[in-house]
Amino acid sequence: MNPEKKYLPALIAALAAAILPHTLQMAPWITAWCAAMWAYLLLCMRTGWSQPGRRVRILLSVAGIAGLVATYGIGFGSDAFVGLLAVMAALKPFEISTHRDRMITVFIAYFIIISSLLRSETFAITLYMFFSVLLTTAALVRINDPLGTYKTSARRAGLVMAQALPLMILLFLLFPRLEGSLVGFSQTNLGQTGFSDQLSPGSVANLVQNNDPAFRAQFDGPVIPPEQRYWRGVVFSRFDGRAWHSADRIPKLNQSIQGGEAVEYTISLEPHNQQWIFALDLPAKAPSRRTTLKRDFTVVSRRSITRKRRYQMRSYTRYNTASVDYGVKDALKLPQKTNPRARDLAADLAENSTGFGEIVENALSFLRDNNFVYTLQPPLLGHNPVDDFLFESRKGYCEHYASAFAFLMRAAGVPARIVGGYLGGQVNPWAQYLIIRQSDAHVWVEVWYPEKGWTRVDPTLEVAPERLDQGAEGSLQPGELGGNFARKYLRPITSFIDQVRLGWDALSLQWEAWFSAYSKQQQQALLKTLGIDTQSWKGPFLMLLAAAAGAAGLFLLYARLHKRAAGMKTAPEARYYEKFCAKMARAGIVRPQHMGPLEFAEYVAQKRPDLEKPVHDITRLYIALRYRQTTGQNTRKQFIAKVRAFAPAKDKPSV
Amino acid sequence: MKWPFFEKFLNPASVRHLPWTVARKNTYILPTRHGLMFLLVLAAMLAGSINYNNNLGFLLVFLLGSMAVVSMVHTHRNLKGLKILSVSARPVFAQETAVFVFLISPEGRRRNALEFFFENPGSAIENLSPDAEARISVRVAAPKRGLLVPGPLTVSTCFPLGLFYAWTRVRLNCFCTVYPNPIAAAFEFSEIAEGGTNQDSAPLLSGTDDFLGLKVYQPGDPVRRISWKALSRGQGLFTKEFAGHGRSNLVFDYEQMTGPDTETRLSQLCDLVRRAADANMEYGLNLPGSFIAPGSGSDHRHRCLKALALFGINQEPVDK
Repeated sequence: MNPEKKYLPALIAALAAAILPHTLQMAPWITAWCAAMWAYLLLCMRTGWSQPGRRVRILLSVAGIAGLVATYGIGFGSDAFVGLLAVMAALKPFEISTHRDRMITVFIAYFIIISSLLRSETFAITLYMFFSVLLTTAALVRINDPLGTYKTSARRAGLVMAQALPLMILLFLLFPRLEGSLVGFSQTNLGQTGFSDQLSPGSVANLVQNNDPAFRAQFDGPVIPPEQRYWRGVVFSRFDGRAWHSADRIPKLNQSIQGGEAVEYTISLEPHNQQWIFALDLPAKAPSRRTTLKRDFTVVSRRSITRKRRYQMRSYTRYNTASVDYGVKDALKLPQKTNPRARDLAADLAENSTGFGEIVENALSFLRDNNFVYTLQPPLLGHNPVDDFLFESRKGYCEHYASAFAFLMRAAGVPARIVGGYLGGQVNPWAQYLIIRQSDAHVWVEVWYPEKGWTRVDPTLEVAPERLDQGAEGSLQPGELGGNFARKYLRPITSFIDQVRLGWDALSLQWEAWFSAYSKQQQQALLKTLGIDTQSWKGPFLMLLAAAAGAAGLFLLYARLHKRAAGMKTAPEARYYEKFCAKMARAGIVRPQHMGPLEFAEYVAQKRPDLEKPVHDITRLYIALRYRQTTGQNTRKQFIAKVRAFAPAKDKPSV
Repeated sequence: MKWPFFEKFLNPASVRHLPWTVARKNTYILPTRHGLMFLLVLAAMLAGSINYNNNLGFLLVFLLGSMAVVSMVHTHRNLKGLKILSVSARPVFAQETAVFVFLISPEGRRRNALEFFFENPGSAIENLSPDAEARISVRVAAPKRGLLVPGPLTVSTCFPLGLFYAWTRVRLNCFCTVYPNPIAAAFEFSEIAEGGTNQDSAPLLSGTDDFLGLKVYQPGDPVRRISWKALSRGQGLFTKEFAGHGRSNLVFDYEQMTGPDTETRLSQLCDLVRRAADANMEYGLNLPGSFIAPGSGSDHRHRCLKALALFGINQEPVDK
């Protein structure tokens, strides 16, 4: 029988558990490759088929690397690296034949685990990491305990892990952290959804089916009311006749904004591969040095957001931006000769109104009074999309309303632009914070009044006012989102599942708020509360000294307790008999190991007849105490007294 | 995993008496080669975590590092406190393998993957359950006759994670009697009998055939003479008595052997003793300087073979 048989399943399980978190991002063929290799190997073991030889293995390695090059190209990114790890991990079990191979396989599994952590730091991944490490360590114990079973190995691995936890926590808290990273992030996240830098019909509607969280907001005070939950992301200020585009190179905001009712909150932003940072309308400051507040009141990060970010923000819910006239001129530009009917309508509006405010009001009432429908599935629009929408189909999603409204404003001479972001958010009842999902994506319009500056106008609300507090789902026609049956009949179950999911979400957020955010500042704050100042050399030095003293103290305590416990185990008579033997040894007669007390007494009597009497007495009492279970305190006292009194003369020549 | 310097350094010279407990002061522990490799892997992981400033990476590195430290304690405790109660070894013929059987008490702790060996690791791995004494066989080659005193016994373990190697070495008072390697003597028993190495030798081989009767079994009676029929009838243990038994005066004489040198002659004598014992004969042994009167039984056989094993060797067991 192949001796590897008993180890291979454990090793393959460890590798598979380590690879699993990668499978979402890996090319599918790599997952299939791993599964096929391992399944074949396990099958080989069951059926006794011959395993591939060296030549086949080399061939497979070459094939795997060729596949990687075909998938990822020559450049060596992190995806290609993980792919290489996976391809090699799939082949590794074929060539395991020695203890060394097995150990290396386990180390590879640990390495794959850490590579998955570098991609995602969620609470779920943290829990999974512990599970994966447990499995891998169980495999490690298994290969070091040839006579063990999976059960005993797993139990031992769990024990070792549990005992390692305190030290792990201590190291985690105290290990010195650096600020920033040494080399730039090279992680890439594929398939993240969200806004892009252009807005065309359908680009927001595509997000509405997506329930992934975009970000979460925790407020220092109470959660803000629904009508204030406008989350600003991108500003689209250039219109090419079909799509709206964001402007390039917007300068940094250097004026101060007048605002009231400042709201303080913290955002946990999911990676979206863009540079925008979402903030409540209107952000008062940039959250960190690596971000900038621009003149269109958007916040932009210097690098793309490829991993979770947490930042503290302050926003004004009432504001006046009259001092910032950036982009006002551009906010009137329209491409020539398109949408003639809309232009006529705009001219009409301008003619019959006095002042910007009235134009806006009249345009809104046009939308309100003409049976517009809020729907996810608008008909296709022709070459003059604004005309088609305003006068033909009259069905659209928020981008249609915003786009048409902004067009009308510009045509009527009111500076206007479109703002993309999110509207709404679900309050998590477990922890009172907002979860903003991709399905909350929304666009609205900003118009410029000379006295108030840029002011938010949301034309969608004229058609679907319930969008404000019920979200997209609540304001659409039933059935538009699909899953009607589930929505209708499985309500109790889905609401229970929702509660569990929200609870989990709250737990994750708490974990990430504390764990992922733990950095140099938090460490310094923690040490400061312990009275250690890390700014000077004395702090770390004292810390080391204290740690060493603490460890020494614990050790001494342990040694003392241990010694006492060991001393308790020996009965007093045994100790006193040892004392007696020691006295005999000093007198020149060493008790050989194999001699029992009686034999030793005879031996002494032979060599030193002068000691026969005391030795005989002591031995008799000792035997009575030790072997005849005589429990009389008197006997014991007598015995102890006799041993104490026993003082043999040294090497008295025998008579 | 070998550390030659330490092995030499720690090679114990003094002989310990049994029972002997593995104490803290003679339990040694060092990282294995894989332990050092693991350290390198951890260093790489730590560098990655620092680079990406990844707290989860830090957590994993510190978890694995702490587990390595904890496993060191486990490895140490897996060995410490083990008690060797006794050791014995059955005599073997030269060029066979001597088997030392140790009686080990685990002292209330489950012990896994312990390796016992004298010189070269690679012997079987043993697991001990917490409260059962275990017999552990340790093999060692017995190349030549005499008293085989093995080198120090090593007990070692890498359990549980294989990152640390704990071991203890102890020189115990044990030996194995190694009989000479038997070489066929160039004559038949019948020849001896008829040719008469001794004057009044009676027919030897036929003697075993004259069945006299049964006598009550006494410890030491040859197993092959036990009357299994009687036992199977439930009458108890009886030994068959034969007419020839007890009348022989066969004595194997060193001087009569044909071998060219002492060793060959001893080997021939060894073969004769073995065959005579197998045939349930009475036989004696005459060596220069010592004489063993004819007798039979396993004790007698051992006495004769031991005399051959120790012939001319100035080596006595250290202790009884």
